[in-house]
Amino acid sequence: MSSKVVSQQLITDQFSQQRSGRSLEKSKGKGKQIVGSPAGSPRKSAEAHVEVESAEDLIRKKHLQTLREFDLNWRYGPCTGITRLERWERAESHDQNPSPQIKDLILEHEDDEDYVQNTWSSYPL
Amino acid sequence: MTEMPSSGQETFQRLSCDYENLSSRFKLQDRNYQRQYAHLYSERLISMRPGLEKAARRKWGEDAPLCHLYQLVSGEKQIVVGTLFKSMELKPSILKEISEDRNLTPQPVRERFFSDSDFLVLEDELQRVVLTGNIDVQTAITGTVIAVKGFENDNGKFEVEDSCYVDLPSIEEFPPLDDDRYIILMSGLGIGSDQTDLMNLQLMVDIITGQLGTADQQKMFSKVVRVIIAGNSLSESTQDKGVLTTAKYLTRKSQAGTVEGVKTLDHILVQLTSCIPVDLMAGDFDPANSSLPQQPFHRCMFPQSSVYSTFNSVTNPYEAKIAGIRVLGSSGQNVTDIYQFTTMEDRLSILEQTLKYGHIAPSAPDTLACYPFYDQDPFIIKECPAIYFAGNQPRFQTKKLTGSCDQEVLLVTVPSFQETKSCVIINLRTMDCQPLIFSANLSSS
Repeated sequence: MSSKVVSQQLITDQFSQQRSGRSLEKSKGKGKQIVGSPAGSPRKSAEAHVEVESAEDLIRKKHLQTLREFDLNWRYGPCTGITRLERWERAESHDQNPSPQIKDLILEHEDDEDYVQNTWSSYPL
Repeated sequence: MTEMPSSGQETFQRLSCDYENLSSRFKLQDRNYQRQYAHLYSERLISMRPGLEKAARRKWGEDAPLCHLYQLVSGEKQIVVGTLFKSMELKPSILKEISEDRNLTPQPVRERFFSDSDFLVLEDELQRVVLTGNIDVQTAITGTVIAVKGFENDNGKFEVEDSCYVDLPSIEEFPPLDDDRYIILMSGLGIGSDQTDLMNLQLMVDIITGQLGTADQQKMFSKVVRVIIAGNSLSESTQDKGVLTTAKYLTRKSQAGTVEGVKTLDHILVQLTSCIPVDLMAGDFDPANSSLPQQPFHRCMFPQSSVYSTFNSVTNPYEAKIAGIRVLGSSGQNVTDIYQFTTMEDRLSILEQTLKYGHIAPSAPDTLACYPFYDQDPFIIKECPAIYFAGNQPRFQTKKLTGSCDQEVLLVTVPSFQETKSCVIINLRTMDCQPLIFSANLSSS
């Protein structure tokens, strides 16, 4: 029984690792495109297409960047294993005055895993 | 509450007093074991830092700046607050066990794990530094949060000049009692082993419930308002370790060794609960979860005793206010664990140390199993108890500790009943504390 559970875990871990790797690549690619586009790069037609889409994406990326910065702030303690909201509330309970903006952001996108979970949530512990 | 029969004409009324259970922070709301322990250490450091900075300022004045480890400047005197970690070569480690399995070099089984090569490391939120100088490695406990004053030397180690702990929190005023009220602490009843003789246990129950003794004694015991049973009500021998290593289908029909023991315990408890409130804590050998804080037994395990509202199944550690007096204690795993990992011999001084460190179980989660908390560390002592006890210790010891703000704390190590045939009675009015020893020798020779 227990061995089964272990083996299952390993498989899912591998999958999630792959997925997270891919999503990382994707986001990296997007980042490059946006940074690169004003300067003008050889693959122009593809970028134009992306940029039309990314009006909302841009805001989202900015949000996620803010949240990532919150994750990386060591003053609020470790961020793995708990949700961003749990971590925010812990910081609040210690009078560390985490930005209320962060909480609003998380609560506004309660259904979106990218907002709710911390940066490393898709990596196995 | 209950009328007590006496040999003469008198009857004594069982006295009662106010009671408030303050253990809610030890009750687990959810059981999520996915998290890492880093949260607990970070939580402990964040919660205790303000108290330590205050204590450090009071002790050393504005002598040196308070800083984090990353702000250390070599050679300058500074104060750092951090968590102690004792690096111990002999500490049991699963990785070492595996590698030893491969190399087939059996190690002797040890009871205590300190060695001369141990050294101390101080950790703050970001980094760690090795401590040397004026700090005793062998009596230090992993997981305690302390402030140290000193400087970083040329080897990159921190030369400690002095260290300081958190202040004992102030004690709440409690209304003085006009009459004697007693509580009884017992632990390690050890039911279910081959050597248990229930005679002494029955004697103790009878004297508490007023079935025995002279009118004077009955009068005195009618003033016992509460009995706290601090763990290990069942014997170690009821734990059948074999079950864990045999196949499930082989043990499916067999009965757990603890079933009979719990039944006997229920028989004994029902005699107590029928006339006096009883708080039953879980201990190391009891059929409860093994990691601290241990959760209360389910009422269904004690069908007879749990009928009475006086039966109170509580957490370990346990905190309550009895007649306005704050009582805090554990079944003794915290003290026993520290005993194993330091050179401190005296259980009472270990208990005293934990109070000074402001933490019931500093060695959890390092060497003592503990739930992975993330948003609170329930073991931090935020309110000063008036009575602080640890169960299942080899002998009875007591001491009155006076804090820096005249807090008076009664420290008690409660002996294991199975080994010493004794329990502890505390007078809540005078805070006098003495053992009650039952040694009836009715050997079946």
